[in-house]
Amino acid sequence: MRTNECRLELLLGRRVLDADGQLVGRLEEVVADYRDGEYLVREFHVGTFAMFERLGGGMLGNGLLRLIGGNRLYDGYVIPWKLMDLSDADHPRVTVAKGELARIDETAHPSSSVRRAAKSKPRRTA
Amino acid sequence: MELRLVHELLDKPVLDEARRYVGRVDGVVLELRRGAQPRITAFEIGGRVWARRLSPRIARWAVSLGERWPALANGVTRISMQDVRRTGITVSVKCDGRTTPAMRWEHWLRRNVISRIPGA
Amino acid sequence: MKRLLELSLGIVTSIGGFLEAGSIITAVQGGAVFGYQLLWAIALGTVGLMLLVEQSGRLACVSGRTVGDALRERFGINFFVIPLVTGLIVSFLVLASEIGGVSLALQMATGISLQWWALPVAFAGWFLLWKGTFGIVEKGTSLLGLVTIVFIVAALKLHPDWGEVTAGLLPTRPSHDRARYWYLVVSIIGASISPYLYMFYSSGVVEDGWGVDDLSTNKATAVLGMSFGGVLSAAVLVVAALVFLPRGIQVERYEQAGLLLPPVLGHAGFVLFLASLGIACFGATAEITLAMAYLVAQGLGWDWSENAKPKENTRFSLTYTVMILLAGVVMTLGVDPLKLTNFSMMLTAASLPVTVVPMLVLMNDEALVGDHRNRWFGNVALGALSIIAIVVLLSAVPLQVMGGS
Repeated sequence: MRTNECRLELLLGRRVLDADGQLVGRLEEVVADYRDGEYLVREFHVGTFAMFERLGGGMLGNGLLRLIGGNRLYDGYVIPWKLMDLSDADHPRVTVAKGELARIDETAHPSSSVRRAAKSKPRRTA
Repeated sequence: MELRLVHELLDKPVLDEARRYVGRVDGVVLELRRGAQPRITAFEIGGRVWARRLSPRIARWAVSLGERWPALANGVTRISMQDVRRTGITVSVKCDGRTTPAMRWEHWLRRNVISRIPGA
Repeated sequence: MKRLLELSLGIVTSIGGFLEAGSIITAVQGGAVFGYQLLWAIALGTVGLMLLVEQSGRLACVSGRTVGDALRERFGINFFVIPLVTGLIVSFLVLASEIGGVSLALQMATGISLQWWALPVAFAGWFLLWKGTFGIVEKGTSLLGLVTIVFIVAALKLHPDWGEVTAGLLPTRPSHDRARYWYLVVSIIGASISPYLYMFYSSGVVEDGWGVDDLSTNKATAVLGMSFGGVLSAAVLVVAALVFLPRGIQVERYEQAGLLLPPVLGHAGFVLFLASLGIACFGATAEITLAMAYLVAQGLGWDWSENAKPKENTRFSLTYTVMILLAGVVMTLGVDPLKLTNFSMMLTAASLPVTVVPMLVLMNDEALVGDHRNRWFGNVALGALSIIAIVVLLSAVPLQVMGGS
């Protein structure tokens, strides 16, 4: 198996195209499973920002998209790892047409467990 | 067990085994393998790492700063996912933060600047 | 009983930093030109600050994250640089103007030019941060800052027409000088809702180790503490309205502001004015410097704590050292402190959307604040504030051009 390293943080916010060259959206999240002592990527979440799509691209724009994205003002797709081609990290591509992808189902998103204060505060021990 | 990399790993604070603050997760390394699931191998801490996220120009500037003043160059701390004990509100790792390059600047400042000022 | 003591201490400490160069000067200028008409701006700013302080405090209590932490963790570095850079630039200018305020008080007291005082003042502020703990900085400057009660005393002594004062709490259209009126409205809002204040507050909550049990204390501190600060600002405006307006004194230099209290309280009034100005600005100097260092350290992932010794958090302590000394240098160069104060207040107001709008997202994020999310009222209020902040941003440049002295 040939291997290749890729940086998640540089993938974030990149436009993802489908097999026909259509824009699917921007990469928003990567979900991994912890199995047999390894973190294996299961799927990618790509968000479509509709009219805010124009914002993305520059340094500032990506930041603003993240602000808006947090509000779940967008729709999106779930892309299983098998369908994502990251050989060109600057231009991630889906290997099928957009219509064949599943949409993000909001209710399926597990909300992270509520953050409790005090116990995990990153303070130095005396 | 599921890990959402952006919501639960990236940008989160990192604590070492003694609950000392090491830094923030500035980057995450994915290993792409032909015919197999991509694997998250490590995460990185460092000014150079987050500078790259802003723009390539800023990243280049950060690297050249580091070359000009090697003492200021933190270098990049890479921590293997094998050493990660917990993610979520903070990322706990199984190593000693003091030995990582992330703290190099902190130590250098302590030795050469801060300790020289009375009352530190 | 202990709770009551904690609560009163919390309220007192929250006063520190509220009254400072910006709020004093804008209130004096407002009263001198428009009488009681701008009281509503102070009220609006105070309510806005109350909101942000309570919410940022709640965020810190429930999640253990400060606003700086949350901005980086929730939105990533690409967004974070926006509040980071704007916050640093704006705060730096405000910091310089605070150092200017202290230096000017010393100039008026001693006759020695403020440019000579700037670096010693900066050094004194640095020394307080270097050797002091968070508690000392917060409580010390606030307790000393109680001298500013003199403004309330002066206002009461002047027996204002309370009916007219109350009328000032409702927005009215100015009868003259519209550009200047709105310029002052925006500046007063900027002076009241300084972002460094509520960001500093959330760091303080974490430094003091507050948790979910302290939420009611947090709310009381926010409401009562900020109200008291607002009353102080209002008192300054009322005195200016009664002392300066009838005499037609438009405050264009700090020295003129020094004429505020003597007509009411004699020579003691002058001394107390200088003490109030000097102490309030000195407290603000320490807090703004800390707030800037907190923002950088929290966002970039450095260990930070004012309670720890400087050598335990070297990057953090170096950051605040550099900031405060640089600001001192700026004032040594002879920048006009009044103009800088006015300008920095305008800039502060213009930069509000950058931190206020993200709060809307943060305070509704279940993962961060869980069951303590904003209720509809908090969101409506914060949303209204965001809209006001955006309007202010859009009007800042034309107002600075048309309304600035």
